[in-house]
Amino acid sequence: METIRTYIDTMFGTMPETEQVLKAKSDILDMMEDKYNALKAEGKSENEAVGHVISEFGNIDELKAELGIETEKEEKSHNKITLSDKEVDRFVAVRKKCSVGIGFGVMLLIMAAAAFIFSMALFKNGFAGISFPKPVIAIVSIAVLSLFVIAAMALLIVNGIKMKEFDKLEDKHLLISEAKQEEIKKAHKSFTKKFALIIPVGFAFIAGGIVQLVFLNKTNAFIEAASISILLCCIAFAVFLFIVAGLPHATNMQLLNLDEDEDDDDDDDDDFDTTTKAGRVGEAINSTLWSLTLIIFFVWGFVFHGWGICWIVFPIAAFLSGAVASIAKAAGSDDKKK
Amino acid sequence: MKGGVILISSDVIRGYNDTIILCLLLEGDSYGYEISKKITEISEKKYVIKETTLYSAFTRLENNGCIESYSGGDVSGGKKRTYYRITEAGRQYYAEKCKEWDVTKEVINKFIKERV
Repeated sequence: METIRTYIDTMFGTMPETEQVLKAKSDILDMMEDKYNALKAEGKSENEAVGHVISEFGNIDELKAELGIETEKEEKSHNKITLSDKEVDRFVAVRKKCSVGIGFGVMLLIMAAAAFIFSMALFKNGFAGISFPKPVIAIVSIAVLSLFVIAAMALLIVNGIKMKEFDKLEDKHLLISEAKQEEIKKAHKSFTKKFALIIPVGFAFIAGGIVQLVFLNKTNAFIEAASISILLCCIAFAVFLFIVAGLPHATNMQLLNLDEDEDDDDDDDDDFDTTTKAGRVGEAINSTLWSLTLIIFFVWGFVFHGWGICWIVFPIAAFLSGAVASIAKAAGSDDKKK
Repeated sequence: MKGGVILISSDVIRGYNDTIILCLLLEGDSYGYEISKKITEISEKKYVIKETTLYSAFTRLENNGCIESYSGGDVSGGKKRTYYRITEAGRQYYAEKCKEWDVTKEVINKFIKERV
């Protein structure tokens, strides 16, 4: 009987845990259990009974169609993925943990710059009357920088790998059980409030950093450098806050599919729509334009030694290219309308 | 095909699963396994209905209002089963399907040659 239960769990594994699905699972299990008991009563062995029952199970896609659940093929073509409650919990937990790791990683990267500046300034200044030779200062500072960068990279790589597991969920419509949806909605609501508070705090830190920089600016070189480092650290901390709060927030939004309806950046990659005649002509003109521009640039530079000014052909070409693109688009959309 | 016995394909019988279930429910309320067992017996093992097919039919019939489900009886283990009963709408639908089958049978038979 356990085998049968496991079989059913597997078959229903990819389905969202709605009330209807759970009832179907329970009812079908009852039917199979009844059949199993009857077969055992007839004298069949455990294996025979189980084999019999499972072989008469049928096609799960038929059931899915009736319950209005898309089959995996349909899901894939509609860009949807189903997540079980357990998977949702795991997703949220991993993202939460990684947000701290990544936050720290980025923070350390920014602080690496701060540490480098501070270390250089500190050693240049010398202390206890000891002044350090330049090579030593450079080496020590770079060592400090490297330590920070290595630690940061380690964190970013490790957490990046942990998050990779959920890359498949990017840009897909996610299906989760109604109970889970309610849970996430509530969490999202309360977290958005927290998030709204954290943002100003982060910016306050940055503002504070700028203020102290302004105040301590015209003192001595060491303090100037130190205050730059402090500003960088303030920025680093603010970024840490934004990441630690931002990632879980984005995760909730992704689970509730609130991140859809964003214009896909991929749509307008091509400057010229080559399905229209105008587009093709425009593209041809554009290529010629840029080739000509390059030629003019080099001729002007080498032959006329105008290096100081010949760069101006590029902004002019960019402007002209934009004009060609607009004209091609306008002409092209007229073509399409026909 | 198994050793000479011709089994009905579920594709062919798909249109009449509902009718078969309603017929059995006319005799009295019943539950999943019992209906499945009766189908096998009455058809003399020529049609063994799959669990998914059966349950899909139950869902469909319930959504159409042809049957109602309720909790009753008990599976060994103290749990309750889901029982089904036919409704008035179900009886009417059944009557229609019976007439439809008579016509279908008549038409198809015209194209089936007599076996020598």
